[in-house]
Amino acid sequence: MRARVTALLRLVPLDPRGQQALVETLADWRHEEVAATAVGARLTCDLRALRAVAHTLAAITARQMIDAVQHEAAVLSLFVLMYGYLLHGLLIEGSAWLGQSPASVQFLWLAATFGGFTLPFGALALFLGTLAINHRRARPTPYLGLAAVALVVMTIEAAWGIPLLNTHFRESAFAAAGQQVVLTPVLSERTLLDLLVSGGPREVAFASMRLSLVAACPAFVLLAGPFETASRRIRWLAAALVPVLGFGLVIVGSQWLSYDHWFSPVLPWIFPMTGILAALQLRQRQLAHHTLP
Amino acid sequence: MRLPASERLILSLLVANGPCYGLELVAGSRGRLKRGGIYVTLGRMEEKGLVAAKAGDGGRRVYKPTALGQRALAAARLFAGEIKLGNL
Repeated sequence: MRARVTALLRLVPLDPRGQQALVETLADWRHEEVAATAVGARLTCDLRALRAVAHTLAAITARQMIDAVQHEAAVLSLFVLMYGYLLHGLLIEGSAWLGQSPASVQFLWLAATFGGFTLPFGALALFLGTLAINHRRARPTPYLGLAAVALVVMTIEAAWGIPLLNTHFRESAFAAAGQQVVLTPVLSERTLLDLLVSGGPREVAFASMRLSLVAACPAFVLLAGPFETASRRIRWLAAALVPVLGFGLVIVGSQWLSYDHWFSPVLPWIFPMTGILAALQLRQRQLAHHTLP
Repeated sequence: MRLPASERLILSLLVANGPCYGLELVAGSRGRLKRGGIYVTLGRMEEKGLVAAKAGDGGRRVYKPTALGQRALAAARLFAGEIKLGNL
């Protein structure tokens, strides 16, 4: 079991400090394994060691998340995007309160659309920022922490941010037209949990789309890891290619939302899965530099 | 230098018991230190210069307190009122 876990852990992009912590945790496992000869003792040893490995990974991720927020300009750009996204919501709400003209509703629709586009591009900004910054300095990039931060931010946005913004937009449109109506939430205005609990095919399809955005975020960040040691040309190629993938995610997603009878809910997952598979494939090529026992 | 409770405990154990492996520190802490977090904490302490490590058997490392670590522990104990100035 230890060999399998070690092989799996070698795929995780860790900084030297995190790698050292994991190496020692695995060395403890090997040390205890030698002493445990009986089947029961071996099983107990494996379970305890597995728990220790999981805790170590969680501790490394937590530390890297703090590192990422403290030291990564790329993460800051993600938060600026998120902040901008929330600002859109406030703008729309404020406009509704002031009672804007129908022309301004058109502007707000554009603003909301732009806000929607920033959602997957938050991850790409993270990727590009990290890629651009990292080759100019010696400090290791906390990819695991960046991926975790991205995952948290995108989960919040996909679960609550998008439906909130959609609701504000529709309310503002009615307010601008001078109509007072009680709105029943449509699919795009329902929270992720609400969609999942409802269980209908259209609800699940919508939830799948949002979850694919959440999954795409850490996938794209982890994809950045293997490029760290690549040549300058390859890094630039990756910097150009990954946004295309992200843009594709938005385009296919919006097409799928418009013509949902054409597409399967599985389709939006092509992009994050491509990102994850590419990251794993590239990571395996780097294993010569990895020193896990 | 602020000394978190876990770092203070590790330094206390290292000063009392001498150089130790991470697992020995966990065992000596009687449940106050966890196996999953010990090496992340030790790595941070090594970066701060509070502990030093040297290679042990099978990829494991033996940790011991540095002079800075011992001074930080003494200062933390002083502030906590555990020792008096004369004992420093």
